[in-house]
Amino acid sequence: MMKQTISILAVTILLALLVPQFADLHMYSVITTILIWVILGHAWNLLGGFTGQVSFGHAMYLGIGAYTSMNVVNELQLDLFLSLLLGGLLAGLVSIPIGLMIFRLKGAYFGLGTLAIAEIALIVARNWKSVTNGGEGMMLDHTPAFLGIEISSKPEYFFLSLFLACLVTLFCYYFMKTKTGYGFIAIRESQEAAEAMGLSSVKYKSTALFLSAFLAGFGGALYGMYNKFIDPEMTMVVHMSAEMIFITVLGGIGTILGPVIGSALLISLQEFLKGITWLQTFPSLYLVIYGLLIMLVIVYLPGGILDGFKKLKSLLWKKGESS
Amino acid sequence: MLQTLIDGLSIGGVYAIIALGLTLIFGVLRVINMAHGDFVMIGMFITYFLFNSLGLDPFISIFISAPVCFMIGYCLYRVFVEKARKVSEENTLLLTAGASVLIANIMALPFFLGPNFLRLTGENLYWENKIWHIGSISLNAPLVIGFFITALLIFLLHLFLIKTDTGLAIRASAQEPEAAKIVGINVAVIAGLTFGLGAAFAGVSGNILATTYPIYANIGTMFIVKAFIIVVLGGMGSVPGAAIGGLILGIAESFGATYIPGGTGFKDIFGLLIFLFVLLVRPQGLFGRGK
Repeated sequence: MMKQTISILAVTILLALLVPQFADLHMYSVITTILIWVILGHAWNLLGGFTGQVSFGHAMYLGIGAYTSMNVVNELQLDLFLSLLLGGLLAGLVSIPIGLMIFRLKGAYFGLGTLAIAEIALIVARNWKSVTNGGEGMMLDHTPAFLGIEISSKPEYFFLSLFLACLVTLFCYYFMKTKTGYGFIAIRESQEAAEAMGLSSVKYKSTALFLSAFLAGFGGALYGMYNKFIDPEMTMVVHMSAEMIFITVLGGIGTILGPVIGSALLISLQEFLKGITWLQTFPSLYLVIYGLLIMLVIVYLPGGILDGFKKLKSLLWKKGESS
Repeated sequence: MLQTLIDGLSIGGVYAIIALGLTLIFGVLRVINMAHGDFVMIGMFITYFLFNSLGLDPFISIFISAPVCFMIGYCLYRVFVEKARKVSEENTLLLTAGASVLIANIMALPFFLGPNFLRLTGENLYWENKIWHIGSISLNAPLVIGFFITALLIFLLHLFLIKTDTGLAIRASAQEPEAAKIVGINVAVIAGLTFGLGAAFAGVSGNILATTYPIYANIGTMFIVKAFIIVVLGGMGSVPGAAIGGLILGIAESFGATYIPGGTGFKDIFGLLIFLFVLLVRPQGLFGRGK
C-alpha cells in the first residue's frame, strides 16, 4: 500500500520538476487540461466504475461546481480553495435528493434517468439568468488566490491542478481501501448478495453518488476557473458527461489508474489530432477518429488500456515460460 | 385550444416514428441505442441532399433514406454492437454513445453537412410553409402527412411481425434467443435486421422533420432525448406504447409552450419532467409489462 502511495507522489514530483524544463504555454495548457480531466474521470469512476452505476448526467455536477465557484469568486472574492470546496459541496448536496429518487432505477434505466435530470439542469442553466447569465456565459473578473497565493498564469494553474489531481488520486486510492470502498465494489458485483450480507445498498450508493458529485463539482469548479469563462454549452451538455465516461472507460473502468491513463491518452490524442495541419481543414475529423477509437476500445478491450497492458504482459510471460 | 391540440398531435406523430425504432431495438435486443437520434439526422441529410441535387420530394426520398439507414444500422450492429452485447448491457450503452459521436462528426465533415445550419428550402419545394386550413384550424401539411405515414408504418410493422416468417423469427429471438438458435434461426442476422429496421424508422422520421426543422450535424441529441422520453413513457419495447407516448409528448410540449407563462424557453422541460415521473412511479411505462 505504501508502494503505490510513493509511486503516485513520485510521479507528481517528477512532473512538477520535469514539465517546467521543456513546456511552453501550449504544453502547459494541454497538461493542465489532462490533470483537470483526471479529477473529473476519478469523480465518474467512483460511481460508474467502482459502484457500477453508469451515470450519463455527471455534467450537471460539473456545471453546478463551475457556476458556484465562479459566483463565489466574483461576488465574495473568497479564497480559491474554499470556492472549489464550496462548488463540490453544493454539487454533493444537490446529489442527495436526486440519489434518493434515482436509485430506485437499475442498469440502463438508471443511465436514462441521470441523463434526463442533467438535461433539465441544462435547460435551467440556460434560463436562470440571475445566477448563470444564461447563454451569454460568465467571465472570471477577479484574480483568485489559492491559500493566499494568486493564481492566474498557465504555469500557476498547472501546479495547482497537479497538486489537486494528486490529492484526488490519493484520496480515491485510500478511500477504496476502506470498508465503505469495499462496500461499493460488493454492490457492483452483486447488489442482492451485498444486501444479503447486511449492506444497505441505498446508503452505499448514495455515499458513492455524494462523493462522485462532490469530486465532479470540485473538478468542474477548477475547470471553470482555469478557462476563466463558462456558459451552459461548455459545462452542462451531454458531451461533458460522455467525456468523463470515455476517459474512464478508455483507461480502465473501476481502477485507480484508469482515469489517469485515459485522460493522458485521450486529451493528448485530441491535441495531437487538432495539431495536424491537413486535419485542420476538417475540424470534426478528430472527433471522428476519437469516436471510432472509443468504439474499438469498448469492443476489443472492455477493460480499457490498463487491461490491455495486463493481457500483453501475461502473454509475454507465458511465452517466456514455454521457451 | 383545439389548435394547440392539433399542433401537438401532428408533431407527436413524427416523434412516434423515432420512438418506434428505438423501442423495436430495445424490445428485441435489450440494447438502448444512443446513436438513434443520429439516424434521424442522416435521414434529414439524405432528404436535403436529394432535394438539392435531384429535386426529389422529401416524401419520395423516403424510399432511399430508409434503405440507407437500414444498411448503416445493420453494419453498425454486425461489426460493433454484437460484440459489445456479449460483455454487458452497460457496454452497449457506451458503445452506441461512441457511435453517436462518430456518426455526428462524420456528418459534420464538409462533404456532408459541414458545421452549418441548413434548411430545406427552394422554389420548387411543394411543402415550403405549406399550411392547410380547415375552418379556423391551420395544419402544418408535411407533419399531417407524417402523422399518416406513422399510422401506416405501425400497421405495416404489425403485419410484418405477425404474418411473415422473418417477423416470427424476430419475435422468437426477442423471447428466447437460445431456443430460437436451437430451432435454426440465425439469431445474429435477425438481430442485425431488427437494428437496421429501427434505424430505418429513424431515417423516415428524418425525411418528415427535414421539412420543418433546421438540419445540422448535432441535432440528433435533441431527438434522442425525446425518443427516450416517449419510450420510457409508453413502456420500453412496446409498439403501441411508442405510438401513444409520442402523441402524449407532442401534446404536452404544445400545451406547455402555449399555456404556461414563459413556457417557450422551458418547452423541453415538460417532457423531461413527465419522463422522470414515469421512470420513478412506473418504470415499466404505461404499456410495458413488469419484470
